[in-house]
Amino acid sequence: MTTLEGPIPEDSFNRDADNAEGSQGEQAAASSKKDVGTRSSRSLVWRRFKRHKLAVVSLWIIVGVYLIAIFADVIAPRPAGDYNPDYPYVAPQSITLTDPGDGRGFGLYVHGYTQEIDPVSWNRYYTQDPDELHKLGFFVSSGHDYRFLGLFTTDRKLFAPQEADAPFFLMGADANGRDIFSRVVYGTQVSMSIGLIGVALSLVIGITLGAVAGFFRGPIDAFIQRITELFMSLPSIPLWMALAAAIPREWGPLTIYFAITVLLSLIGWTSLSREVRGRVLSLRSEDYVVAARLDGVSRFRVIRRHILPSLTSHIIASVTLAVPAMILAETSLSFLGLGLQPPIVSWGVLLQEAQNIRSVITAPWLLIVPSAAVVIATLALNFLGDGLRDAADPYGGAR
Amino acid sequence: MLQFMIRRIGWSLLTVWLISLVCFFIIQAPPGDFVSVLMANAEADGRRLTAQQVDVLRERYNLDQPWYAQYWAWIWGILTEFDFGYSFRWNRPATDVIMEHLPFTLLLAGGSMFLTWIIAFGIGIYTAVKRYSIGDYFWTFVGFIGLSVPNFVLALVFMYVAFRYFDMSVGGLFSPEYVEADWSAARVLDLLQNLAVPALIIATAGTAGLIRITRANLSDELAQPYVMAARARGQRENVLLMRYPVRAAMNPFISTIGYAIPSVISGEVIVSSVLSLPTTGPVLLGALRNQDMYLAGSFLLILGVLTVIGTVISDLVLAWADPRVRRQHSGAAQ
Amino acid sequence: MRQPQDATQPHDAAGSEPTEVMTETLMTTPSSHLSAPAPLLEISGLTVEFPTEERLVTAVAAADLTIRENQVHCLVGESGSGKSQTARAALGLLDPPGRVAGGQMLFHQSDGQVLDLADLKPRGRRMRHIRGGEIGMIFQEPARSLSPLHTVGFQIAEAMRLHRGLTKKESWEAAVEALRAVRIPRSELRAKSYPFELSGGMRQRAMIAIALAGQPRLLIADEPTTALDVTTQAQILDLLREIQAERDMAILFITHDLGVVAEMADEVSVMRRGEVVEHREVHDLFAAAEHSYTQMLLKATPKLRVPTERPGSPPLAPFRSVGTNAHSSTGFGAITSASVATVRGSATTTAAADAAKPLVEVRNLTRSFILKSGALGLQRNQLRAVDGVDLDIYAGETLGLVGESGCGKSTLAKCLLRVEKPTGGTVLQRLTTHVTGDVAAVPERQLREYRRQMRMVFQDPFASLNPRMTVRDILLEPVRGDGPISDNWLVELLELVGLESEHLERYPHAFSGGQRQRIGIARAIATDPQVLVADEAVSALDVSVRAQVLDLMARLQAERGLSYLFISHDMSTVEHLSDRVAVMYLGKLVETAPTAELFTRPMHPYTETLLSAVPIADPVRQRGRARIEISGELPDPTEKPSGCPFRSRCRFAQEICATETPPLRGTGEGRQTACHFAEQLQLTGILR
Repeated sequence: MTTLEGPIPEDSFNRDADNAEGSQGEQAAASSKKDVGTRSSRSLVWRRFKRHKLAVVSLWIIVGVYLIAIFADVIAPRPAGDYNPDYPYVAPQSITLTDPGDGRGFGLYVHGYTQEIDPVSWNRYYTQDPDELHKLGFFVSSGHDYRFLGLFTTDRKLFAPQEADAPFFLMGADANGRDIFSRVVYGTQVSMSIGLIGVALSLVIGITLGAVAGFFRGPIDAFIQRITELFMSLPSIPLWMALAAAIPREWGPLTIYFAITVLLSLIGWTSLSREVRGRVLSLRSEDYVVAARLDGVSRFRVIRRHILPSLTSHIIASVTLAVPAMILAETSLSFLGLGLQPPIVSWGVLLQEAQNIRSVITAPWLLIVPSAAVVIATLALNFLGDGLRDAADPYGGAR
Repeated sequence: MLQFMIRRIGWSLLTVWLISLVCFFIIQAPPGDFVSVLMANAEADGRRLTAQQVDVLRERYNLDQPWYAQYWAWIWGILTEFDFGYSFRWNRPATDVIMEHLPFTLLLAGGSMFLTWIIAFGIGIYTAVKRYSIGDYFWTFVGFIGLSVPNFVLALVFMYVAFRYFDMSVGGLFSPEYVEADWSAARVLDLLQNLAVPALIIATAGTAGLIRITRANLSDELAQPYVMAARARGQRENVLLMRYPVRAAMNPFISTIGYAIPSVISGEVIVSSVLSLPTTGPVLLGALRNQDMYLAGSFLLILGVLTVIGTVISDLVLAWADPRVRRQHSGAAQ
Repeated sequence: MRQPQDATQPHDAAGSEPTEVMTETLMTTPSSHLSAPAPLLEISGLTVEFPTEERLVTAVAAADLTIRENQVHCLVGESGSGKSQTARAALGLLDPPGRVAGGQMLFHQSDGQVLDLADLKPRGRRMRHIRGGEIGMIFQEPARSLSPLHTVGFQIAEAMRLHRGLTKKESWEAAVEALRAVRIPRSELRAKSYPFELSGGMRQRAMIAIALAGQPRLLIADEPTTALDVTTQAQILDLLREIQAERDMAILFITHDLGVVAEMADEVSVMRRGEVVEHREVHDLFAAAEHSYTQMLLKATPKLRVPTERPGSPPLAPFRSVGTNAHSSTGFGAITSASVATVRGSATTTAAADAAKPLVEVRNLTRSFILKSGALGLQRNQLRAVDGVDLDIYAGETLGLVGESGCGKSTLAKCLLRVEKPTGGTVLQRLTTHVTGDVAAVPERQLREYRRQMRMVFQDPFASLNPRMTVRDILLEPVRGDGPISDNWLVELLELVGLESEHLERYPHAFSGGQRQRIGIARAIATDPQVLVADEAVSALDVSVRAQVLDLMARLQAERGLSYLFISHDMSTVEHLSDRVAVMYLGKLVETAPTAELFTRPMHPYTETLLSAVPIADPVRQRGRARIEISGELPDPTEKPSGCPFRSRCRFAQEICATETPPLRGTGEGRQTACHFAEQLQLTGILR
């Protein structure tokens, strides 16, 4: 019964519910546990995780988002910076399944646009032209060469018009006639990777400081605690803004990208560090860690074999929860114009164009599409992290 | 208790000092100094500063001295004359600019703290008591959405909806008819109405975390034997719930408020920038964009100090609210 | 339905209507039936279920139980037997998702009405009246059963207001009065205290005051003394008995401890796996239990019948020569087989010669902690957890170390193994030649061989095994670096502690508490040690499991010539296993003596007090004993009394006790006592 989960009552005198040992009870208990007895903690974590349906769905979404980032070149119909002054602020096209009857055959088509000029205000309006049809296809040649995963050069796109220069704006276009869909797909690369790399950096800082503080205690711990508290008591966004503003403008896009990542992680490590410290402190005095010491196990092995494995699931959960926070921070900074700058394409950079409420009124997709990307990614990561956190301690609920 | 207060305030003074160092570092971070920026600016306007003017300015701001002397001069000015330096962009003392905008920031931050607190506590109690119910899942989900949608997106959506469907131009803290009006009850009401939505937007980010904390704490407290003991002596469920476990779950809640302040200040900066509210946010943003570093650094310092003050207050409230802490530090238990 | 008009009216047993209830279904013996008072609470066919995602757990399965007026009814069972759930079901206090799935709980109210508690809404007004007004309840952990954020007086006054309709001011006065009634001195002051400012015993008294506030006719006491020290337990049991006599109140006393049953019960029900398997008058139960489970429980409970037979057989021969090198890969195979007895037997002579000298000599061992307080941590208090202890451990013996919680016995064990570094004193040893000199002082890296010879078995079978390692990995950890280990060796090691080869690849979570403790013992003996330090190693286990683990330990000792330092708060377990016993109080040893002598004729007043407080699992003997009252509370360890640490509670204390600390000195027959008057005092032990 010790493997039961959930709020099973026990007489609190003993945490072990099934103690009819020695008699047939022990044997029966032992045989019924045969299947779970040899399950490692990792498989138990996984089993508990799978019960969180929302978290499992989120996991698949996150996998999908990172796949989009990896295969952005294939998925995006246009290169990120590709613009077409003929189609400013055009609305999203709808895809129709039809046969125009001109020999191109039955298939998926999009309409072209016609331009009208308002005689009074001289504003230009674009409407979809019911007569102009462009056939779409899978793995069609786009005329834009790229290197597929650095392996070979190709110009095939996953889903694009068969005529290379046909208008194709599934999610609308911005002021310069750039395809929002393509840009959001490319933005995935930057936004999702900045979260990962930034968290990886803060993880290094956080784990090092947290583990050092938790393991050695005493004055070292007190000092690290003070530093952590200092960072936690600073409002992060203004501080990020200030530090980001100090980045020289003349630096190249890639350098700025890394500088921003470093900045984000410099401030984001605190919660990870606290988490790790708390866990290490409580694990240090666990009986089984003391037992390992008495077994004559070396200090290094105590940490590696007895302390770290218990930490990993918690660390993974914390990391998963830290990634969306970083993505949001990057997006906010870039939105304010203090983070990444064009020509880098990130979700935050895309949202810069939504700063002006007039353009949002004209073209709501400027706001909706990148925001949706941000929300989907962060929401899924938050749910995933939450599910992982609940599953992280497979023994917590069992006793 | 007194000892505890002294120690706590001592630590926070140290933190404030470290914050001031960070802020000064930020002021110093951009290449060139304040005067060279001023010169470049003047040149851009087609004017020219004489060498004499430059020297006077450099001396005035101790730019010819090592950094610690400059730091000391800056701090000394703040401490003795409340002089935060000079904002070249506004061509006014930074203190004036700050003081003009700070009250609205405090109002907005206070309002969103209040909302965060009310919403999180209410939902937290509900979800803990009705654990694993439909309502629990629903509110948890809503909380997560609040956590996942960036503040500025919410602000933009709000502006869009107001403009598109209600034909209202959002921005500022006063409706057009009250912008120039004298203070009156109607104007205060108008201000509060206009504050409500930004405060709510800022509050969304912080609530999810607090809901989770409240729910976890209260769930732990509900499982404590003293709840059953109170039940066993015949107390009403609602009374005992509020009197014992909810009261106990308040303590960690109070201590998290301190850490919610930085997040509220952060949210305020962004949301105010989008909605162009007359708070510190847009001013800070403008200062940073234009490398008006004394103004930016001073804002940062003040926001940091406010946060520290907030944390100290929440710690003191916590100490006062928890007899264990209270008696521990009073030294005379019996 | 009307509420009873006056719940506070004292109940008159003779005046109550005889009720028409189903006495014939009860399993009472005819003799008790004749003289039995009227029933108060009749539980029949009670079934409590906890539906979970995976399956339906039946915590209580058709249990029958009748509690009579003015009787103490003990409900006995091991953990998981459903005894607490039965009591909670009566008051509608089951934790969700638990529910009463069947049965009746008929409660005879003071006005003669019979109410089925199973029909009441758990949150309804009538149930709230029953709770506290008719049935009071106290719990196992007084520390956690009181709200930490409210004063004790507030919580008592709340109950007063609920059931006596008093005003705020009246209820406070009633609360102070109630504290006085449960023998709490300076009750006005104590009422204003928060629970954390009171000792465990005081908190349980306060809980009793709350439970009695509504003058209930039944008090449910759910393991009320399990979390308390034995002397405090004795005080609380006394209090409960006195109150029960004063008030015409029945008590349903839930416990796992047959000693407490022998002390308290009029009637006893035994529960096992949700069923009441036996219901008897208390003397009948102990004299002639009928159900095999009850018989097993009684057999597994130490009787404190001096001199006892040691479990298992006495050590055949000390077969070990000091400093034996650890096993080769065939080591254990050799040990377990009979053939090795001869190999080992050759060492007898050397061992016999060495037997005179202790394996471990502890001299003046001290471990102190600095507690910081004050504004900047400038005020420092010294806490001497272990305060100048002298102790010898001989080859092949079991040395029991007893004392109440906080007396420093665990710290002493940790110092012996250098988990904590002693602040003073020496530890000399003859276990290994690798450590030269004082174990208390050598650097940690030199301790490896010493720690292979002296091993530890931990208290908590759940916390002491790494949940992320298989049994194989756990057992291999201490012998890493000894070259390749064969599977045979591991299997033999497992079989030695009563486990099987198929358990090797399992993780700790697949085992029960007793099995885990066996794994812990296997880990300890894996290095073929000479001394095992067992710190409360069986305290977390149920009676029957405890007896089995103790048997295992005795067998291992007999087969392998182990020495044990057996640390426990439980006198009867120590008596059961030990050759010699050392008694510890506030960091100091106050007495050491051979077990039989210590238990029959203690020489230190504290030992006498401890023995007097131990309930003997035999109602005839237990009720015939003279009780020695212990006064006062355990002093704060940072403010020990001057001179003799026990003088503040000692009934023989003289002036000299305050000025001179009595040393632990020889008082004949291998005994040592730290008392100025050891020879003069005639103290009472546990008689046969």
